[in-house]
Order: sequence, then structure tokens, then C-alpha cells
Amino acid sequence: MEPGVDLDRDGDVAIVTIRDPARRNALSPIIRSGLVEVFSTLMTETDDSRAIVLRGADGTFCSGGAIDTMEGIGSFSGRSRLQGVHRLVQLLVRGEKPVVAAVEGYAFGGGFSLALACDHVVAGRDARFGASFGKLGLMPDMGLLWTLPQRVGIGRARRLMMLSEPVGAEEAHALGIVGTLAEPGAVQEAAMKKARAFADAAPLPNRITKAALAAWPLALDPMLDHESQGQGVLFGTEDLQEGLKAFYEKRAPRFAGR
Amino acid sequence: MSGSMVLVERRDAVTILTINNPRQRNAMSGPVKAELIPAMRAALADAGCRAIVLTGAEGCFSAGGDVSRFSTMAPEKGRQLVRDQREFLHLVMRGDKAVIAAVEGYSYGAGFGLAMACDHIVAARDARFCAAFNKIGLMPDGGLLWTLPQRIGAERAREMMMLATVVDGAEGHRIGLVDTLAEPKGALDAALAKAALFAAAAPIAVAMTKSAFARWPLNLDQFLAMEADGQALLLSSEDCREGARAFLEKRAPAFRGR
Repeated sequence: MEPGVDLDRDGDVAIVTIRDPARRNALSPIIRSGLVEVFSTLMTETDDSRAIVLRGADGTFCSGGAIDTMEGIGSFSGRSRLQGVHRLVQLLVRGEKPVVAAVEGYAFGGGFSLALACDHVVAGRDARFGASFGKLGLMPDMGLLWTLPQRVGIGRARRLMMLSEPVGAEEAHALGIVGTLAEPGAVQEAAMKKARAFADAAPLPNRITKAALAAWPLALDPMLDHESQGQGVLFGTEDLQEGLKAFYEKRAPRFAGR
Repeated sequence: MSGSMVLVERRDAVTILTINNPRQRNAMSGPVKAELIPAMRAALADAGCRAIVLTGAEGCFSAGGDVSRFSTMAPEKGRQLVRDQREFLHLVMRGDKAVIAAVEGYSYGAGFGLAMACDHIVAARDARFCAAFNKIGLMPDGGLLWTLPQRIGAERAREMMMLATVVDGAEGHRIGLVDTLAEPKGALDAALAKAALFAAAAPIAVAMTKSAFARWPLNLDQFLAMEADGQALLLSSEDCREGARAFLEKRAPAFRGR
């Protein structure tokens, strides 16, 4: 089977699978363009999905850049390559649907960045994370300099990035990298459960919350502006009326996303 | 090259700078700063030095400013004092080499700011950290309002700065204030072991990563633009070729900073 990116659906949860197990699901050009294509579709208004799971085939999330495709790469072509993959980072961070990373095996280099660009990371107890860029004489990329310090603080981010120190899932959970720990073999199930919880949450507030988090860091006043404008829009939605009704009737709300 | 107030020693690729003003518990007095600034500048310029350890003589990191001068200090002199401090902090944070703090005893006030400006903080279990400023009617300086919330989060930073709570090494390690914990009297040895790892890391990648941290906070787009330019430069470096070769040959890379 040719390497590629698969899209499956389970109700309103979309499942995106990086499939190139021979390369441990490395971010080769075909995988990168496949991910951009799939997420461009999923993040549109017209797509029915309400939450997305991102995983790797055959028990490994993603081992990062495809080192065999880096041979002979020049500085300017490298820059263009980065700019291409930034479309993917933007889709994950700015796209207004929640993305859950289901991490088994390795999330190294760009694979680590990919997991951290997601809203929630589910990992098997035996999974490993590493900002391995420095081992190749490279700096962290795919937004890791922006995402990692937000999750773990600047001291730990410096240690992980400047020493390329790998961490196991349990330590990653303690540090705030991993949101949900799962038993090996039960990662996909745990990620689906989490994705369903995101899919059932009121979609419109979460879209605005995700957009505000994507604008981080903001000074206090611009953040308060964001908040008053966003909340203003939400006060005019059907979902708010449904939420209020459900609250008074002591039942679970059914949000239509309107 | 050893002055009286700052001792300088090179061990392999690591330069040790020791504040040697034990009579004042290594307070950051004028004479200390007058020697520390050129010593740091020289270490940053020394091609054989790849990492710097900052410590204090006789089991005390630095107890802060030279309080004996504060009662008679005119406001304009006080302002100048803090600006002088800034020159040193700039060298630590904007310099291209990793700086590791080895903390025994007190890291108080300006001495606390000094430790928090470093990339990696090694502390003895019984070391003591305190933003002692408001005990004498001053506000935090030494960059702490910038560095401390990044390290330990807004809530804990407020408590340490507004209540001048004392945090020991063990507690500091738990909350992310300290990166590596050492036994009492063991901080320097532990810091040298850690510094050897920083010295072996790819020097240009370390410099680029540090430079990114020094520009914090940036938004996602600014980080992505910077990483595309930075990674482009690194992709065409000799070190990146060596890193890729070493990876494929399954050996440790030997980086030369070119």
C-alpha cells in the first residue's frame, strides 16, 4: 500500500491517520500534503465533523521529518518547505474544530510539534515524546517554540528543546504535555471517547475560545475586546436559548451549532 | 584570568563564573557587576567555550542587591543601579550560549532574578529562593516580572513576588522553578554535568532557540516566520549535515558550530 493520509468517520468524529509505517509515519512530502488536504476539508463550515482525532498507523504517531528526504536540501528550499508545512500548523491551531492527538509509540521532532498543535493529547503509557531537532543540528519547528512553553513553562521547555531530552508519557502527563494517559492498546479508544466529549460540547463557544487561544499571547485589553465581541455574538445564538432551557429543565442540552 | 570579585575558570568547553563576594553573601554590588559584565562578555566571545555556569562562592549563590547602600541612595542612582543590572541580564538572556545557574544557599532579590534569567537552574535541595524586594519596600527587578510567570505560572509568581514567600530547592523543583535538583553542596558538580550536555548540543541550534525565547512573547505567526528563516539557515549548516550523517550511522554527532 502506498503511503498516504486516511480519513475515516465515526458519527461526527473524523479520524485522520498518517500511514507510512515503514518510515514510522515520518512527515515526507506526500504525508505533509495529504495532511494539509484532509484538514483543509475537515475545518470547513460545510463538513459535518465536530471533532477530529489525529493518529499514526501501526502503533506509532509520527517520527518527525523524513531524514531521507532532507539530503541535499538547500537553505531556501528548506525555507519553502517549512512555509508549506506551516499551512498544516495553521489549520490545526486556527481551525475552529477541536483536534485530539492519539499518540502511540513515538512523537519525535515534527511529530512532537504536530501533537502539541492539537487541543488535547491522549497518549499510551509507553509512548515517548522528544524535540529531537537538535540531534540533527536543527532548531525546533512547526510551532513548537510557541506551543511547548505554554504547556510546560519556560524552564522545562528550554530543557526539552535545548538538550533534545526525550520524555516518557507518564512524565509528559505530569508536565502537562499529555492530557489523558491510556493503557497501551487502549489509546485509540480513549482518544475517541475524548473526541466525543469535544464533539458534544457546545460548538460555537469552543470555536471562539479556540480562536482566542490561537491569538495568544495578547495584552489584557485586546483579550477583553476578543471576549466582549465573541460573547456578544454568542448571546444571539439558538444554542444559548437551548442551553438556558436545558439548564432550567435539568436535562442535557442538544446544541445544533446555530 | 581571576579578578577579586569574580573568579573565572574554564573546564573543557565550560566556563565557570563564580561571584566571589562572600562577606556580603555575594550581593550584586557595584564592584561585583564591574567584573561580572566583562567576564560574561569574554566567555560569550571565547570560541572554545560552549556553555557557562554561573555560581556563588562559599555555598551561597547571591543574596541580592547591596542593601547597605540603599538607605542613602537617591532615586536617580537607584534607577542607574537597575539599568546596570540590565546590562548583565542582557548578556545572559540574549547571548548565544547556554547559561546554567548552580544555586546553593540563598538566591534572593536581585540574586533570584539572576538565577531565573539563566537557561537551566540547578539547585541544592536546601537552597532558598525568594523575591525579597517588598520586604524592604521595593518592587521585583532583575527581569523577574518577565521571567518568573513564564517559569512557574501567574498564580505562583504572584505569591512569590507579592508575599515574598521562600521556596526551597525541593519545592522549587516540584513547581518548575528548578530544573535539576542536587544534594546539599552538590549543585556545582550537577551543574557541570548538565553544562557538558549543553556544550555537546548543536551550538547554532542552541543559539537560535535562545534567541527565540529572548523575543518572547510572540504570536504564532511571528514564531512561524522566525522558525522558517532560522531553520533555513541551519539546514545549510555543516552541523546539520553532520547530524543527519550521525543519525543514519547511529552514532553521536560531533557539532562544530558551523
